[in-house]
Amino acid sequence: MNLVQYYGLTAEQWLEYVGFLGTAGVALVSGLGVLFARRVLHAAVWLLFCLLGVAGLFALMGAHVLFGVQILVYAGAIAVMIIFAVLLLERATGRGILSGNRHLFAGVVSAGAFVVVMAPTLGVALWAAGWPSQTAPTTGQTNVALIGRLFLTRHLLAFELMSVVLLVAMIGAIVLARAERRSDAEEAPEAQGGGAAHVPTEEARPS
Amino acid sequence: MPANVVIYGPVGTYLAFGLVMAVGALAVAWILRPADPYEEKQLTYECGIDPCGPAWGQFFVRYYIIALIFVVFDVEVVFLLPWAVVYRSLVKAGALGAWALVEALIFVGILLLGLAYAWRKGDLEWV
Repeated sequence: MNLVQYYGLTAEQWLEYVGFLGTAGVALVSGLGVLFARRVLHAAVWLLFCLLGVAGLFALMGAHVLFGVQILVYAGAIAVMIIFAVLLLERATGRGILSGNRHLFAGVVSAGAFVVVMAPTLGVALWAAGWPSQTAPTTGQTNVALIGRLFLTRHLLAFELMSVVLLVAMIGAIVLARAERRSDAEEAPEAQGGGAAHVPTEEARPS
Repeated sequence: MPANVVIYGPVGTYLAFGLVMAVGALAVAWILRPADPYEEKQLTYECGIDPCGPAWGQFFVRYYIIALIFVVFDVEVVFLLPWAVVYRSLVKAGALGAWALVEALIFVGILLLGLAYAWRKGDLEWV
């Protein structure tokens, strides 16, 4: 192939860099937004954009199934669940919940430890693969079709077991949510007075 | 095979246009509109009547179980997606097609037990 190059990179490679910087930037900035948002509800909305940014990274790496999982399950369902839970808590207290960074030292230490472990690992991997590295060569099939075929043939048992795992998760969640609701109903008079007092809150805005 | 950034080009273009339309509409309105705020204008719009209560909405706990069930079926859809992609080619190939349908029906059937449980326990009732 004889491709035109601009400053040493083909148009596709430039697009890849732009796409990577864009999606990684969205993920990083909204991740910081999750950390530094004062209201928990705002943090949950930042989390939604962070998950979408990670979905973009999956797309750029050709992980089409993970891209779908990230959009459908994480951005679609998990983020909505978290926002739901926050709104349910705000219902219990009647005020907005605020977050704080009370464990700054422990957080910095553990983040530092993560960097100490990950940086040499990534460095060695990059050194071995070269930069910019190529992804694994693909066969003619898309990997979505490949995974579907494997689900129905070699990994059939795992595929059907997933359904059982999901069934257990669903029934467990229902049982737990019902138990919570029952204890909610019993302790409702106390909870309004003292139970929620230790949650840092802000007075609701006047309507 | 083209690079992934090219495969997802339409998605990116769609996102970019969506952003430009949304931000553009707000920006144009911000430039063109006269700035004349007064108290009635600052009120939250609530179907034309004066709003009552704070905007930080209160959700009924019952929605929570429905949301939990939604998450489970959402994960189910993700597992059925690769199946749906290969299904047609399996049917064309021959005997594996009917088998693939049975496998997916078993998968969905097991999960339907959970839905039946929720229904039986009255968690789907609308109060």
